[in-house]
Amino acid sequence: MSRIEKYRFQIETCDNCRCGFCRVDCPVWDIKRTESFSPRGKMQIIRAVLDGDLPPEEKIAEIFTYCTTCGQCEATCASNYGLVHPRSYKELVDVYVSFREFLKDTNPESFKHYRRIVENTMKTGNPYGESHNRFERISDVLNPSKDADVLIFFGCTSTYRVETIARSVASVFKKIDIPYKIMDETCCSSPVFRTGFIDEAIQLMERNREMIENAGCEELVTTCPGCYSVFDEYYREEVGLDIEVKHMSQFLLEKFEDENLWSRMDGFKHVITFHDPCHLGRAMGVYDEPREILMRIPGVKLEEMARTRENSRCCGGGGGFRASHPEDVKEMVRKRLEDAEKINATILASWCPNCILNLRFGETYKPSRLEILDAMEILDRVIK
Amino acid sequence: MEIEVLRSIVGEEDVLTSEVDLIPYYRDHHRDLTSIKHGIRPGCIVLPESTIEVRDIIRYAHENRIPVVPRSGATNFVGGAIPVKGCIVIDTSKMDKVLSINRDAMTVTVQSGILLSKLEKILENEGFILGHDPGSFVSATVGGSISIDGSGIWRPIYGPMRDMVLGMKVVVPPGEVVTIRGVQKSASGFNLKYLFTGSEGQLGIITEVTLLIKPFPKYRIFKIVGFRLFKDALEATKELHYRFLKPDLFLTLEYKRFEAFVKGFGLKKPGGVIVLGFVGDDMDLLKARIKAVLDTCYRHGGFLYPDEVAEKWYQMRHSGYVIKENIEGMLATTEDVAVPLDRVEEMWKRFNRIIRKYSLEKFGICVYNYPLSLSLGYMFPPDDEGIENYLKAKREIVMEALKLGGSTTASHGIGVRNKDFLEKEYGKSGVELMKKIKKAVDPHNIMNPGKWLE
Ligand SMILES: Cc1cc2nc3c(=O)[nH]c(=O)nc-3n(C[C@H](O)[C@H](O)[C@H](O)COP(=O)(O)OP(=O)(O)OC[C@H]3O[C@@H](n4cnc5c(N)ncnc54)[C@H](O)[C@@H]3O)c2cc1C
Ligand code: SF4
Ligand code: SF4
Repeated sequence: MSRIEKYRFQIETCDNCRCGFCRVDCPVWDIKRTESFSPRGKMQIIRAVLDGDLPPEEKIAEIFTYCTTCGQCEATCASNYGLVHPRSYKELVDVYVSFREFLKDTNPESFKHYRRIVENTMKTGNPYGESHNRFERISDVLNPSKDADVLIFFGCTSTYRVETIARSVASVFKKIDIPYKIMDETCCSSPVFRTGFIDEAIQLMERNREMIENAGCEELVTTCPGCYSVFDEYYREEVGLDIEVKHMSQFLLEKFEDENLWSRMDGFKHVITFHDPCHLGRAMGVYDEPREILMRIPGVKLEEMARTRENSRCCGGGGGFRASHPEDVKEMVRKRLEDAEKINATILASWCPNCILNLRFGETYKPSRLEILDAMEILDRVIK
Repeated sequence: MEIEVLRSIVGEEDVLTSEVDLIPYYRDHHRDLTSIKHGIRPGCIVLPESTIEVRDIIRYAHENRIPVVPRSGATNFVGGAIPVKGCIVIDTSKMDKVLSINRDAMTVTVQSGILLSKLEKILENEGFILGHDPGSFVSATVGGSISIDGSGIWRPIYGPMRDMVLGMKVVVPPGEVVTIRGVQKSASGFNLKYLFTGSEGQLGIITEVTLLIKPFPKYRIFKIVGFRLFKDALEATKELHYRFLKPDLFLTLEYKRFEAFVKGFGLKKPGGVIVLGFVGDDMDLLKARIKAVLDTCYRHGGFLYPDEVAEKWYQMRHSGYVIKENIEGMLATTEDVAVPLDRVEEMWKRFNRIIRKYSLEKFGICVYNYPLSLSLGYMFPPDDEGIENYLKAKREIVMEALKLGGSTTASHGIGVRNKDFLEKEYGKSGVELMKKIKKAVDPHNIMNPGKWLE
């Protein structure tokens, strides 16, 4: 039975309902406005294909590239799968991911962009196809120990695309003197999994699982919500990973509290607004820790955008969307930057290399006076 | 149909013709259409952005006698937005702009495709409220709500949707724009505003609307009163009507409607509850009104739930719509009949009898007050027998309401689902009159054909 068949119940419940609550904040529907691009439309298309009423033609695969896997549809769904299944986010997003898998299996011509990402990842261990060692350029600050309880997983985007974040992670750990191990990472599989290439994703998971287990640490910490959510959910389910997984914000908040590191922070006079990464907030329910840390930096005033937390507007960076639809992503970024401008923030912060990369993407919003910063970059600036 | 002509009106991207793009337009929210096999394939979808574009589409459709089906949120219960074969579906999703807010006149002018939820957010930022809050608040639109003649929970204070509409622009065949001015009261000529309200897209397409807005209230207070028996809740409800004590939100619910909610609080199980809401900016005035209403409820054996229960009810009012179905694989539906105040209890009894007769499961009654109407909720398994029983029950429920001097539908509309009842309600002469009006406005019958005017 293909994976998508497991979701018959969800698909049919929605197809019988079609209430469209899910449409209104879907970032894709927001810019497209036609039903096939809306979550409710997608559910009907899936049902039609599974029931044999619609051949899985190329156009369908194209439509299913229009999803950032942000989980907003799930959060607003009137059927509220969340009340039935505790991990609400996964249900609808997993339906789309599984359907991508179904489509790529039925049509080898589909998903050209995704196939390139997957090929890169399988070959080089990162979706960007970079061949140099991911730690090469931060080796001056990187200071791993042989003996440590913590294993840091840096992830591909921070090491290959937003190096300042990887650098800040290493630098902050050095300053506050926490020993950590690193490993010869391969991509966590998030982009591969979420684009529907599940068998390949599982191969990547196996590679990392072995290294993680060999490292023998108590905790696995990552600053990338994409990695974090995949480790904490899919690694457990698919390859039986058994280790405590934390997002960097959770780990650091504990450390800052335990060792009272707050006093080591310089003042930072800014109005910061926090953009919840979809894969940290809606996917994993982590909303408070990043805010708590930012708020306690002396001088910081934290202001919320109109769309925040469960209803945070997706910036368009996830689910392979940026690779296939760069122009649409610019539109999504523009809308998110406008949200921050409206409340007169000076810094738009997030805690996700992928969101940061995306929000800075193509300098979409040149006229903006906003500075876009990852929380790790901010911490590196303020910690003495 | 010449797709090129439509493309020249709305632009290349805004005309959809491929099968995969059409599939999600085969049906609307009408619950009887449980698979696309029950839906109908439209000819194409167009997404206009202005009144002028809509006018040009209607002109083209009128000249070439092509049916046109308006569609907004597609959340209506009655199949009002399902296509007819080969039709042009006009999806208003791109007509979603706020055109102006006039603070001094207390009006907002919008394009009709704007979502109620988006509009309220914008108004709230400006210190105003529209106040149309149906269960579909999240995904229904202004244009759809007027066209169906819907109503929401704040109806006692803000009225049903029709009371908020001041003026509008409507495109009618052969492609003319009719403008109804946005004043609070007009006695000039036929009341065209009410002609289009509830016409379900069969006369024309509403493109712009001027609505009455109100100050966003400083205080919003909720109270929930429980009663041992639903009958007691009904008695209290009647007395509130007789004394014209008018809370701003006023629903009388059978416990079943409340069950899923109260469960989480581990509270006492009542037979019925009255949900109350009060808004305003003068606390003393509010307190006096609340006291008068609650005292009336207490006289009928009512007991007050903690305020946080009431608050929570309000916060959760739009969620968990089909939870029950998720768990049990049932389909839920409601009949939203209206009966006179003195027949409500009798209607409740007859509804219970019908549900028992067909072994269906009830999920409870809601009495909406000011204006008074009922929502009779029940569920059925989506198999052949379940559907057969449901169809029989539905017919009997509405027929009983009509026998009690009632109306088929208070807010959901007629569409295709309720079309058989129209003549029973109005008689031949009533329906004939409606058909004559339709023919005069739309001689080629291009506007939303296949619904109740055929
Ligand atoms: C969960 C849920 C709860 C609901 N609760 C309520 C409730 O409490 N109260 C209530 O009244 N209704 C309720 N409804 C029903 C529904 O939401 C309303 O009927 C709503 O007003 C329809 O608006 P829409 O934008 O979805 O219109 P649509 O469904 O798209 O259209 C409704 C009808 O109007 C026509 N139409 C649409 N737009 C235009 C236009 N611009 N010009 C001319 N004709 C047009 C369509 O052809 C169709 O006949 C509920 C529905 C759901 C799914
Ligand atoms: S996951 Fe996000 S982008 Fe994808 S359908 Fe849902 S709301 Fe839209
Ligand atoms: S809100 Fe949920 S049930 Fe309703 S159409 Fe969207 S996905 Fe389906």
